[in-house]
Amino acid sequence: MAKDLLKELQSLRDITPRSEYIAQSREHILSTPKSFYVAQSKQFGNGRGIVWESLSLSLSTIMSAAVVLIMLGGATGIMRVIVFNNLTAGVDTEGIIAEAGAASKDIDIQLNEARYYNIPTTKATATLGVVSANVTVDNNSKSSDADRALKEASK
Amino acid sequence: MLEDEQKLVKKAQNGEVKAFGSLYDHYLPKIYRFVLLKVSHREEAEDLTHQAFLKAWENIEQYDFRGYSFGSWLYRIARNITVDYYRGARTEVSVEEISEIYLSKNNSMEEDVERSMEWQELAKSIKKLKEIEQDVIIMRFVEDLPLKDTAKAVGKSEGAVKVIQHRAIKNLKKLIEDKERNG
Repeated sequence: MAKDLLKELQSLRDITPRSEYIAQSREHILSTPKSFYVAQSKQFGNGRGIVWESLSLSLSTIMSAAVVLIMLGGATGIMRVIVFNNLTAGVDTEGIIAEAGAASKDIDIQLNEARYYNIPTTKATATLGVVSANVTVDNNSKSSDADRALKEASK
Repeated sequence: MLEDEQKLVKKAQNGEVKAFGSLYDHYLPKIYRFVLLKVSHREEAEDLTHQAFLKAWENIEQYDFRGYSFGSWLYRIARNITVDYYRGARTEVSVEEISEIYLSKNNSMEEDVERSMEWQELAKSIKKLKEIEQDVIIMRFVEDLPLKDTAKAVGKSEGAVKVIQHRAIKNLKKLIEDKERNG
């Protein structure tokens, strides 16, 4: 049975396509031109080898990267002009500068005050030491010594 | 495999029409039979076979030898085309078309009728198998395609193809026996 089946299957080889069909199909296929891309890739593949292919690939990558960079650079410059022109339009720049100047003056005054109160801790400690050492002296002279020491420390 | 097949392929890849013509002449009947047994309709089979060869000619530079015959690549294209065909508009199966082709050969009338009946039954039974079993049965037992090339054409390992062909023959035998039993 298995042998018969295999024979049966092999007998299907007698099936052949119509001769008219073969002629028509063959002519149509062989007259179909290959596309430009295919012809190009074939030329690279067969004529110049893998080195040329990889070289052309790297070259095209570098060129693409350069184009992208140029485009980005140009876009940044253009965007800067557009964005800044639009943002500053209708703004009183002189007023802003005057306000900024006034604010900076206020900050300077506050910094001077802070500097005045900022007595270095080492000097204050030393002064307090002197004050505590003179505690045994009479009350009048003690206060005058302490005042003097504080004045020195604040200089 | 066709003698000097790889030389012909190289020439065809370089755009030599004549070389592809030789490959076409050698493989056309095989691919046509494969497609016909899959779709069971002569005109559809002719159209799909034509599409397969056209695709092969347009993409021949994509074929890479690597130990596999050009035939296995062609079967793969034909297989994909028939799969697409079945995904689309599936026409009614008419296995009579196969016998019609056989009848056109020069045989005696009696012989023709007997053979055509057998072919009809066989084609019907093959069509009842799973897609992959049909492919393997046709490639391995109708066309005698080597195991390695069949595996490449159907995208399976050689071991898997062995298993499939064993199961396909078993299933086909059962189908034929069942048909004979039921008249």
